[in-house]
Amino acid sequence: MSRKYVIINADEVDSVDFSKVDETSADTVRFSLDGSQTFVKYIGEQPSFLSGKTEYTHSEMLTILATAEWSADEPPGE
Amino acid sequence: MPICLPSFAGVVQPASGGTPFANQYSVSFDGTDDRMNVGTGVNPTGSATVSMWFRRTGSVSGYGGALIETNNIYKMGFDNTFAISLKNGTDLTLESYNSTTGTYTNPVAAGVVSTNTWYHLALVLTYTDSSTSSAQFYIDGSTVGSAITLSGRTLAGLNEGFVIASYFVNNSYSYFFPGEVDELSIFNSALSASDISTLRGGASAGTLGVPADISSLNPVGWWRMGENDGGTGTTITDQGSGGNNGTLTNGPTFSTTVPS
Repeated sequence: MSRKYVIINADEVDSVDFSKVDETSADTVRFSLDGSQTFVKYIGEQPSFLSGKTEYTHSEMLTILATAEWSADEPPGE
Repeated sequence: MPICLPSFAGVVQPASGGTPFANQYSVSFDGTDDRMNVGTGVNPTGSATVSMWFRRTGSVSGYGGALIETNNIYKMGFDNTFAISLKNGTDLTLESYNSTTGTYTNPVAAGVVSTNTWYHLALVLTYTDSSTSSAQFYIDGSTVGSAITLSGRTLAGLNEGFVIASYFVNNSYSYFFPGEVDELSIFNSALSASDISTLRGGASAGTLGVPADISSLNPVGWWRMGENDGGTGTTITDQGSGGNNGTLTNGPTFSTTVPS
């Protein structure tokens, strides 16, 4: 069974039950460059606290994360 | 060191008849937020070698696709820090300040990495003195690119810990690597081309080998990526002399796809 990914607003992190997702904790999630969004991933049924949110596949999520909203297009050292 | 031949189910049978070397697991990183952290303690003091097997399974755009990076490339002010990345997923790149070019991004070789293909990668860093060191990469036992001259750079930044499958920049993780990593090891010396061949199982240069028992090379860090931990949990035991275990964060999974 493949993973599913759901984007949430940064202020919704406090409502995430990290026992139901693969992310380790609120301190380890990845945020968009402006800090307004993050995401969680899981296998199986969508956790209830994510009900109604759009699910993305791994491939779709990689495409989203490659956009300027999530990734800087510059060398990490410069 | 015996030449090893692939046998079955990830078990490598040494041609000399020695103890079979089992390699059942690798760790799969999804390229979104997965990583492995190793804390302070691995501390090459001069010349050093980094060895790993990797297989990129997803797309990488721009400067993403970090295989390994010392913590923290900014915190350390670029003194003695480095990162190995796959620009655009295909171009082997060393991120470390180069006083000759005045840049941090050092192209090593373009177009050398394909999707869904295992590679053995080695970085041999030869430290001469405080003003001269050089970095030479190997893929599958053959040198790639020219040796990069750095100003007295060592890998001492590893003493700040390091991260696999991501950069840690400006206090956040980014540039994630999508794919599998296996048999990561670090040595406190510049290994020879013959040693690099041993690391990759003794196959002919330019062809894919299989992981072998590298105990005789005395790694200061050796993370087998699952074998010592039953392919479960979030700890990657360090089988090297340093005892610096790694921690999987944000759900990397164990895979039974291994170099073969």
